[in-house]
Formats: sequence, structure tokens, C-alpha cells
Amino acid sequence: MDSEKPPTRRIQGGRARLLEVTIKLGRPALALVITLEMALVFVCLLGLMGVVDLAFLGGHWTSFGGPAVISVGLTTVAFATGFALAVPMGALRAHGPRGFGARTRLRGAGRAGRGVRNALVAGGYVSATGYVEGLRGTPIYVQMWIVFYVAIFTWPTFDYVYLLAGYLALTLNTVAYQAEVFRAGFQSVAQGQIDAARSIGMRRIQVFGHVTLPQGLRLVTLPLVNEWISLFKASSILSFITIKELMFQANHVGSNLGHPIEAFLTVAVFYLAITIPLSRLTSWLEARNRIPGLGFATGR
Amino acid sequence: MIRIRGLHKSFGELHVLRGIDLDVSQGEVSCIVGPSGSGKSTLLRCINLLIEPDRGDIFLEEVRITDPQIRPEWVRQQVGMVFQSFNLLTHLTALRNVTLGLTKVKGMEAAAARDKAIFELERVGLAHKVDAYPAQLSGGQQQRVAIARALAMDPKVMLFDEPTSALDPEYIREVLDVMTTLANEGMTMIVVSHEMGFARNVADDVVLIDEGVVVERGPPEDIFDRPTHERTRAFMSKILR
Repeated sequence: MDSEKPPTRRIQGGRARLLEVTIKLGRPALALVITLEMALVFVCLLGLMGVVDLAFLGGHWTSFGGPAVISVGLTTVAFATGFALAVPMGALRAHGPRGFGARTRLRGAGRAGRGVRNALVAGGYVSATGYVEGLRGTPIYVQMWIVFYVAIFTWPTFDYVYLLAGYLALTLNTVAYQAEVFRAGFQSVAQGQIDAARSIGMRRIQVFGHVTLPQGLRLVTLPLVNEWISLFKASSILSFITIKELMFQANHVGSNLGHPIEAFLTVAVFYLAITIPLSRLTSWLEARNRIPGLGFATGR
Repeated sequence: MIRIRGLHKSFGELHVLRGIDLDVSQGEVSCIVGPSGSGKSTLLRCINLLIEPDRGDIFLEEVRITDPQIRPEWVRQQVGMVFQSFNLLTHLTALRNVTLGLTKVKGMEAAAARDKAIFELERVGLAHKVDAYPAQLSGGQQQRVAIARALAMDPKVMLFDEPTSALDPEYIREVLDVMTTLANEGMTMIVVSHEMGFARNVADDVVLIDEGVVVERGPPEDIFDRPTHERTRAFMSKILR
């Protein structure tokens, strides 16, 4: 498909070389460099103006490394758990209350088996819909406190109850959002693709596994990365339940050591340094998994 | 081979099939023509149960496939289908499009499925395109892969739903050639198409459907040159110039 790439525009002089480098690295890489440079220049300017204590910054910025690992780790584990739960939930939502082979006429299985299956599908659909609406309609901050209090009253003696509560709060929240991402993805798979798979005798579950899932996943790569970024930023509220992640460290440095501006500027740069490379990763993932004619061009 | 009796299908208020009777014998090519909206595609989709009929019966080799105890997946293994818009799975190569049914539905070993798929792709003249994705193939090539995919399942009957309507004129020939070869090899075929050349030269039987019923059926020369019904005459005068 190389022949279909648009020809590179020819621009003369130094700008042309910069452009070539940009194209090679990819726009996201350049965006990362520019954003981080701008942030650093901004911090230095504040330092020259006497607002920021650069010496203090230099001595303390490394203390955000460990908390950054906790933020990224918790977000990723919660995201992965959410992913596993959201795929079946999104599938239920995509197929509707009478989906997955629920039929008006009795076919194949015995009447009892069919009835039980239809009831399960319909019940699953209603529960999934209620869950998604409930979780998307309330602030994650409120959800976190509910989970937190339920957790500490249920396991009062468990040493890691805070961490568990934080993990559960993030997971329960991201499931709802990811389920909607998957629903949209599954519903975007063309009916003709499903007809074709059924016409060679595949069962509904096979059609889902071999057609709807692989095609739907490719369509939702970008919104899924968006959801990871949202969740990562939302994980900052876990500082309220004393999980020692990025925001907790910023509060500590700001309040206890008396340098709030330095602390919050540093933490902002840490968040940026993690979120921006992700868009690069997304482009790479999309390019690697791209199949001619499926989904959208990445614009590069 | 196929016997249809009193087939009815409605979509809400729209009564599409209003009592279709149709017989297709072993090795016969039956060409279904009729105005758009007359129910031709719905009829084909009923035969492999992609659409479940409301009333009436369909028999495939004396098996009543409209029986609720019959698994639709079993029926679809016996009945190959080729779609107007090809419907190749866009995320799989030509080869994988053909092997998917062999491995997942027929339970064949990967190597055997591959051999079988390559054989079928050779039959439609596309052995050199096994690793191409559908988007890298022309319309005519895609439709030939779709035919190979259906043939690989060793169907007893092949259904063609306007297989050349979505093709550019230069690709129609190659698809019709494959279909003609298939007919000469003795495949039982039900073809919805307005390719009058194909119907005249290849079909054993032409069936005119209008408003959900069979208006007239007979050998192509009778239907095209000496239609007995006024509606057949009106339809033929529109498509034959």
C-alpha cells in the first residue's frame, strides 16, 4: 500500500529539513519534545522572576519517580481489569436485550434451555445498562468515597485496604466507560461482515470472536487510549485516601515542605511526560495493526 | 434438491413474500428475476435461514429446514451464499477468508484447510492473490474469492444474490465466467441477477417474481421471447431493449 502514501511536499531550505525530521519522528514525538521544552522554559522563566525556587526544584523533582510508578501501575492494572470486564459488557449492550441468538421462534435447543438463555441475555443487558448509566452519571470522586468506606468497614484489619479501595474505585469506573467504547466499536462492524460469517455456518459466538471482536478492537484503539489517559488523570484523587501516588507526593512537597508552586508544576510536568508519549504509542499500535481498507487512515 | 412451498415473510407492515412456491432440481441453474423490492433477496436469505420465514416450508434434499429442531448453522453449511457486496471479511487475507469456515466450522486441520483453500482459489483463478487483503483486490477478484469461500464448504446448493450488480463493467465477465464453469460442472445454483446473457445461456429455468409471488417460470427462451403473463411482458420490455 506504499504507493498510496501522499507524496511529501517539497519545501526549500532549513524548514524542509525540520519537516523531514518531523515526518520521520512522527508528529506525536515532536509534540512531546515541544511541550516538555515549553514547560521547562516556563518553569525557568518563573524561576528568573523569583516565583519558583529552582534550587529546591533541582533537589526534589526525583522524589516524584516512585509515586509516578504507583500512579501508572494502579491505572494500568485497573484499566486491564476493566478491559476484561468491559468486553462482555459492551457485547451485551451492543446486541440489545434480545441479542445473541435470542429468537422469537424455538430453534435448536430445547424450549427450557432457550428460555433460560433469553432471560440471561435480557437480564445481562438490563444490568449492564443500569451499571453504565449509574457509573457514568456520578463523579468518580463520589464513587471513590463509597468504595473506600465500604472497603474499610468490610476489611478493617487488612493492611492494604487503601490500595484495594483505590484499585476497585478506578476499576469500577473505567469498566463503565470502556463498555461504552466497546459497544460503539462492536456496533460499527458492518452487517455484511456478520452475514458473511453466518452464511458459512459459524455460530453466533464464533462470529463474535472471529469477526466482531477483532474488527471492533481495531476501531476503538484511539478511544481506549483516551480512556487510559482519563483514568490516569482521575487517579490523582486517590491522594485523598492516602495512596502515595503523584498527587499525594505533590501535596506532601507543597504543604509539608512549603513549596506548593514548585510541587504542582513538577507534578504537572510528570503527568505530561507520561500522557504525551502515549499518543505516539497509539499511532504506532494503529500503524502496526492496520489492515488495508479497515478503519481510518492514521493521517501520516 | 430445493422445494419451497407457500413461503411468507413480513417485515413489520411490509408483506414481502406472499406465498412463494419454487422447485430447483439437482444440477439445475435457476435464475430469479423481477423488479426491485419484489422479494428476490429476501427469498434467497430465507433459503439459508439468514432470514427466518414466517410461514411456509423449505425442503433441502427432503429435509424440512424450516423445522424448528434444525440448526440454522447446519443448513448454512450445505447452502453457499455469494453476496452483492462481496462481504469478504476485511481483516483477513483472501486465504484466511476461505480457511476460516474450514477450520472453525468443518473442524479441519490448518494444513488441510490451507490446501483446500488454495485449490478453491486456483479454481477461480486467484492462486497468486492468496495473501492479499480484500481492499487490495479489485471488485471482480473479491467476488471470486467470495465464491471460492462458499465453494470450499462443499455446498449442495449455491445462492447468488446479484453477484455482479456492484461490479464495474470490466469485471462482470470474469465473475460470470466462474459462475458459468460452475454451472457446467453440475452445481445446483439459484441466481438472482439481471444479467440476461447469463440467464439466457446458462439458466435451465427463469423465474419471475413480482410483489412477493412467482408470476411465471419456464425455460429462458419462453420467458424472454414468449412470456404469457402481462406482468412478465411489462418487466421484460423494461430490461430488454
